[in-house]
Amino acid sequence: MENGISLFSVYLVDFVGSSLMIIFSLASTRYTWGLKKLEPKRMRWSYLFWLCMALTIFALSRSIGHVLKYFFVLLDHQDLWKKITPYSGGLNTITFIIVGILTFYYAYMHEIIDLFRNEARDLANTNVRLKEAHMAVRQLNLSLEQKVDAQISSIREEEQKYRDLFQHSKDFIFFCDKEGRINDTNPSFIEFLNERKEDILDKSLATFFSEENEWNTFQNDLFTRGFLKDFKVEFRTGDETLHGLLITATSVKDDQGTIRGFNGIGMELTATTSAVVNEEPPCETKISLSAFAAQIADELDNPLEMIAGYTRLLEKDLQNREDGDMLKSIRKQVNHCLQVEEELRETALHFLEMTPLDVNSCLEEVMGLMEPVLSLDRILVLRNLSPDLPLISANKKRLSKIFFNLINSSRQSMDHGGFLGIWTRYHPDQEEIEVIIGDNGPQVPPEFMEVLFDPLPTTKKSRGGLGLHASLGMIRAHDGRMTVNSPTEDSELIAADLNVAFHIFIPEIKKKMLN
Amino acid sequence: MKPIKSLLAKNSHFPIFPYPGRGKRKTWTVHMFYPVFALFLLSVFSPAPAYGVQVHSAPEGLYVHQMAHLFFAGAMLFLFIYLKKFPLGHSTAWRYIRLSLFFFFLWNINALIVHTLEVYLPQDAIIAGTDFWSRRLAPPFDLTKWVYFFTKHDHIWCVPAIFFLFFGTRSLYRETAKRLSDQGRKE
Repeated sequence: MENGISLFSVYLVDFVGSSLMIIFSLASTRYTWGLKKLEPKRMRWSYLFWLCMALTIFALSRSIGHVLKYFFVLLDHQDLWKKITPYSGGLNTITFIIVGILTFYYAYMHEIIDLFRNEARDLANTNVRLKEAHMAVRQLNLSLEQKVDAQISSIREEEQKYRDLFQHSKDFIFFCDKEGRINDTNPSFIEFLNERKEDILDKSLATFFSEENEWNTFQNDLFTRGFLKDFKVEFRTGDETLHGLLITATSVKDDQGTIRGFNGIGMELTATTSAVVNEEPPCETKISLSAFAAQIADELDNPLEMIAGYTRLLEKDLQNREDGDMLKSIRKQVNHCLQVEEELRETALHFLEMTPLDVNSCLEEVMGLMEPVLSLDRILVLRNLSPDLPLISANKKRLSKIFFNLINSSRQSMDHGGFLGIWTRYHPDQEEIEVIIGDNGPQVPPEFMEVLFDPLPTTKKSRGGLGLHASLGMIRAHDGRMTVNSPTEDSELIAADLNVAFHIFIPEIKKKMLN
Repeated sequence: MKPIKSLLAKNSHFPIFPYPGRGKRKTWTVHMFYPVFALFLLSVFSPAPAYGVQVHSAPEGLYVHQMAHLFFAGAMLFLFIYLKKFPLGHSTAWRYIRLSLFFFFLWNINALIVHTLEVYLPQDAIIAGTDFWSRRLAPPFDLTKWVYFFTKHDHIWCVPAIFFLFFGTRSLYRETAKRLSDQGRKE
C-alpha cells in the first residue's frame, strides 16, 4: 500500500472482459440473425437484429481497441497505440450514438407495428367478409336456378288452372276492347251464340243485344261505374232466337286510368235462375232484426209495467197535490214508451219466421217447464188435447211465449191454488184450431173486460196488462184472434169449474197456404 | 411508389415535413418544426458575421464521448422502462434482455464516473513502473482514488450486460424455433 496499488487487475479484467464481450456480442448477433431468418416477416426480430448489430459494433470497436492495446504494449509499440487510440475512441462514441438512436427508435417502431397489425387485422376481417359474400353469392347462384324453376312451375300450374276454368266453365267468359269488339271468349259462349269462333272474334258484343238501348245502358253503366253486376239483357243468338242473359262485367284500365276494354262473365237465364233473380232475396237480416226487436220489446215489458203500476198508485195517493202533474207527465211518457214498444213489436211480427208447428207438442213443452212451478203453487192442471189437430204455420218461440204468458197470468191469479185447464180443439169448418187456457181463479170484473187487452197495465189480480196486449199482437201476427170469457160460457169449461178462459184461434196451415 | 415520393407523401410514416395526418392531434414536434425551420433559414441568410469553421479544442472529444455515454445510458433506461410497460413477452428471454439493458445503463454511469475522475486525478496519481504492467496507483488514497480504482474495472458491468443479451437472444431463438416447429407439426 505504501508503494501504491497495482493496476494489473484492471488490465487483466479489461483484457478478459473485452475478449468475452467480442465472443458474446457475436453470438448474440448470430442468434438474432437466426431469428430474422426464422420469421422474416416479424419486424421485432429485424429490430432486435439491428440493435444487436449496433451493440456488437460497439463491443468490437471497444474491445478490439482494448485488446489491441495490450498486444501493442506486449510488442513494445505503445507509440503506435497512441496514434490509433483517438480513432478507437471516436468509433466507440459513434457506436454509442447509433445504439442510442436505434433504441429510442424502438417506440416509433412499436407504433408502426401496431399500425401494421391493425391494418392486417382489418384486411383479414375484410377478407373474411369477402369470403362470406362470395359464399353467399355462390349459394344464391346455385339456388337461383332452382327458385326460377319452381317459380316457373308454379306459374304454369296457375296458368293451367285459369286455362281450365276458361275452357271448361259453363258460364260465358269474354274479353272485349273498349268499342265492345270481342277479343276472346270461351267455348261455352261460342256454343251459346251458335256461331263459329272466327266469326265471333272482332265482332261487337252490341250485335248480340236484342235492344240497342240496352247496349247503350250496359256500356254507359260499365264505363261510368267501372263494373256491372247481374245486368239482365236479352241476347239474339246466331239462330235468331232470344235468350235472357245475366252479365257481370268489369272495365279494364291501363296505368294512366284510360279504359282499354272490359271483360265479363255471363250466365243464361233459365226458368229457375230467372225466378231466383226476380224473386226478392230471402231476408235473413230482416228476420234477425225482427227477432232482436221482439226481444227488446219483451224485455221492456216488465219494467214499463212496473213504472206504470207504481205511477198509478202514486197518482191515487197524491191526487190533491201539485206533484200529481209530474206523475201525469211520467204516465204520459210511459204511454209513449209503450206505443213505441208496440210499434217495435208490430214491426218485428211482420218478419216472424214461420214454420209448420204442432200446437199440442208446443203446449207440452211449455207445460214441461211450468208444471213444477204450478205444482208448488198447488195448481192442478187439466189437459184435454185433441189428438187430430192439424199443423199450423207459426213461430214456435213466439207462440210458446204466448202460452207461457197466459199460463203465468192464471197462476198469479190463483193465490191459494186451484185448477188450470188446457184444451185444444180443431174446427174443420173454419179450418182453424182453438187453444183454451183457463183457470178457476177470480173472475175478471165486467168493467175490466173491455180494457183487458189494452196496453195500459192493470193489477195482476184482475189480469190483463201488457202481457195480454203483447200476446194479442203476436196472435194477430199469426193471422189468428184471441178472446176471453169470464165467466165461461162453454159447457165443458163450466163443468170443469173454470171461471176465466182465453180462447186462441189460429188458422191451420193448409188454409193459410191457399190464402 | 418511389422511396423519395413516399417520404414526401403526407400519409408517409417517415415524412420529411411533419404532418399530423387527417383527424389527428398535432404533436409538439409538429408545432415546433416550422418556427425552428424558419429560425434556421433566418440564420442562414443573416447579414451578421459568421464564423464558418469552428475550432475544436482538445477537451471536445472527451465532452462528446461523455455526452454519448449519457445518451447511451438514457436510451438503455428508456428501453428498459418501455419494455416493462409494454412487454413484448413474459418469457425468461425478455427478462434477460431487460437485465442486459439495465447493466448497460449501469456500465454507462460507471464509464461517465471513471472518465470524469481521470480528468480530476492529479498527474502523479499513476506511478509509472519499469514497464506497462507494473503501473501503480500512487498513495495517499482518498475516496476519489478508491472510486477511480474500482470504477476502472468497468467490465464487471458490461460483461454481464452482453452476457444477458446473449442469453436473451439465444432463448428467443430457441423459443421461436420450437414454436414454429410445433406449428409445423400441427399443420
